Amino acid sequence: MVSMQSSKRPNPFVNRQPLSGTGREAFLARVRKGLGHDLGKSPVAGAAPVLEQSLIRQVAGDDAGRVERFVRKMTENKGVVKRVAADRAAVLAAVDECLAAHAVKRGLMNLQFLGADFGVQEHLRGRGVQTIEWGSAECFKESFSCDVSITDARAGLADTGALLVWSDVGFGRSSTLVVPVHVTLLPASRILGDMIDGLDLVLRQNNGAMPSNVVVINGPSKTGDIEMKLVTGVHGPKYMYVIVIEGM
Amino acid sequence: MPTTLDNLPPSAGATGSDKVHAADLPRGMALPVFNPDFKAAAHLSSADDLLHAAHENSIVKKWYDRRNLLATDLPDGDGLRALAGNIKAHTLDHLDYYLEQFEANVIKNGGHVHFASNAEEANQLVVQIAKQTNSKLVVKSKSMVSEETELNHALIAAGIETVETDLGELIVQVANDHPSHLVYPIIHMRAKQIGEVFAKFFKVPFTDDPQVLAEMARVYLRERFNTADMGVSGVNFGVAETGSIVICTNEGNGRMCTSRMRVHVALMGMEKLIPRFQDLPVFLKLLARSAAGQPLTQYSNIITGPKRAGEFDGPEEFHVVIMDNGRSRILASDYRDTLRCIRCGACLNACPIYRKVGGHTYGSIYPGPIGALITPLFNGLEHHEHLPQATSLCGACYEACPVKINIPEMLIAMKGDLKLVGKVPWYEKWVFRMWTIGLKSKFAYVLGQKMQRFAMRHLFKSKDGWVTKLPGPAKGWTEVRDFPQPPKKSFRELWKERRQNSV
Repeated sequence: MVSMQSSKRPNPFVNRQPLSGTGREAFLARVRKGLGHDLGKSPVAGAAPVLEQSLIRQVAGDDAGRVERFVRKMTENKGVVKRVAADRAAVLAAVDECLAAHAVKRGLMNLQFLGADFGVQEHLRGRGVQTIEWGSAECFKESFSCDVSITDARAGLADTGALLVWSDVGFGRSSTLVVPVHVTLLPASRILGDMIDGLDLVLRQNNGAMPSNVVVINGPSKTGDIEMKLVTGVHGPKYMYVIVIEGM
Repeated sequence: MPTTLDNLPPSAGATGSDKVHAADLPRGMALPVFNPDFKAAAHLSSADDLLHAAHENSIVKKWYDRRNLLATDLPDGDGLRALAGNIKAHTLDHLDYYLEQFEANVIKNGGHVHFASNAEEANQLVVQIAKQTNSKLVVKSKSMVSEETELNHALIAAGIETVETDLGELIVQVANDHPSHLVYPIIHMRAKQIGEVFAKFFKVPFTDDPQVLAEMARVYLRERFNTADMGVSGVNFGVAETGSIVICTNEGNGRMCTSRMRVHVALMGMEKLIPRFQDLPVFLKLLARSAAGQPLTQYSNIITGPKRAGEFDGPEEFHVVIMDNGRSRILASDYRDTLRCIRCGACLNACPIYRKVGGHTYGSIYPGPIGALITPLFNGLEHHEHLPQATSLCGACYEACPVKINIPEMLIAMKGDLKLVGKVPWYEKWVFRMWTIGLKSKFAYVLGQKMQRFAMRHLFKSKDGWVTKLPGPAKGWTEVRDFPQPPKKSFRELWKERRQNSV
């Protein structure tokens, strides 16, 4: 228990003065004064508390069963998961299964990192779907009127059953967001244990720098604002499918 | 009788007087107040069955179960909460350093940083950015700091159309209401009431189906997302070492507002910083669990600067407005720990007082146990003398808090501070004066006890050993429950008799 009696800190209710000054210097001076520091310079902070890995991971630390946990948790999050072998026919059949229940006319394509394209775009065109590739001149504007988006993901996170994506020249901030149906192709080898591994991956693959936008997606868009009743598909995708490609 | 739409009574919390805007507040007050008298409002809301039904239906029936279900996924939840609390405490103790680090990194990433001393300055900065970028339509993601500054009011007054995009906040805006919860702004309303509001606003037939109501909002807001110029968001976490801001939303509106607009302005209380990128999992896991009983928010959105060369979406301009508005005063005081708060709302849900009186009764935008603490800190205790009393000291808030803010202990300290602002009621002073006399002399003590027992046994209305009606300041007690009558003999008398008999 902190003893509140013996402190020498000023009581916030007596001698209340309006905050003095405007702008950066006055702002920082008020903070330094509040901390009892020299008003002109911020002393360097010592080491922040140690991040004990086991405390953060807790359950998803083991490698075994990572894919199983990812599938189970993503399903709990109301995502639909399909596990297929790494061959063209199987992947395309899974894509067809995902789209069977939806009227799809325009598809946004943002497959950048999969390492194999399985001919998904060609296949959709063959089905009469107009496709728009992220990276084409009109992709930003056109993406808003697409009814499905097919993307890959940088990683899956088994702990909570989430996808990890980040933006760059080839991958949009909003290509995983603006459509009612989102289908993700995810190689099984990209499924990591915990979010902390995912954030490591972000730094490792970007040489320690941050991409402009990193998003951890933990299922379809939802809200509980009305009586805490679950409603899916508010502004982001209402339906989320993840095709986990085994042996890849 | 079941409540039907025809006899739907207004929620007492929602019928409070009109909001007092921050600009009209006395000197030294920083938060807008829409209900200055907690005690009077609590009288009304504690009899509001509709409000209690709404809380029962959501918090009691859903939040607790969902949160408890997750406990197996986090066997050492307490250890993680302690770590989160320590990281926040460390950050606050070195906030000057981390603010400068954060600022330098935002600028390095191509963003702009602005420092606002108070709410008015923050609003001026945002309005100025909107005007400079020729923004006509602003879409807003949920932000408690913007409630603090009443940013919508300022933007609309400057002729800039401003639309809330979080479903709950949109309902608040359309209904001209106030949020009553940090995470669930319209938790005080039943679906029927919301259906009424939407039927009138959208001119459609009434429905109380949440899915259909959400769909209406989706269609309405989608057009705005497509045409808006500027997005305004809050900040859940600011990462000092990378200059990133993190926004957590379930609906995806936070991502819309920050990825599709030409300009993005993030409004941040200065206490929102954390030191390292790798601190994030600690807080993201705890935030969603505490706020909604879910393992993670659907979208944890980490933004580091504006659109980069060659990218096809993202804002061309990225601004962060960091606000003080009295936080530096709290930082300097013994109440520094209140700045650890990540606004998850768990203490509200856990609090028996909050569930009984509702968020509006607290009178400011920060309700519940944490609100009872920080509202007086922002606005002055003399304007909110009843708030530190809005507690049963049961400790449920402390137990629920993901960053271990010892709310009950600080509420007790704040009760002590009432004497510094001259707000101790006369009867409390009188009682303590009597005690002082009694404890100084045996004669006075015995006499006082005799008088008190006599009064309680003979002067007031009583029944079967219970006093049923007390006068003056004690009236409030017997209005809702009886008070036990003291026994005929005091402990001292019984002790004396016992000693005599046993000799």
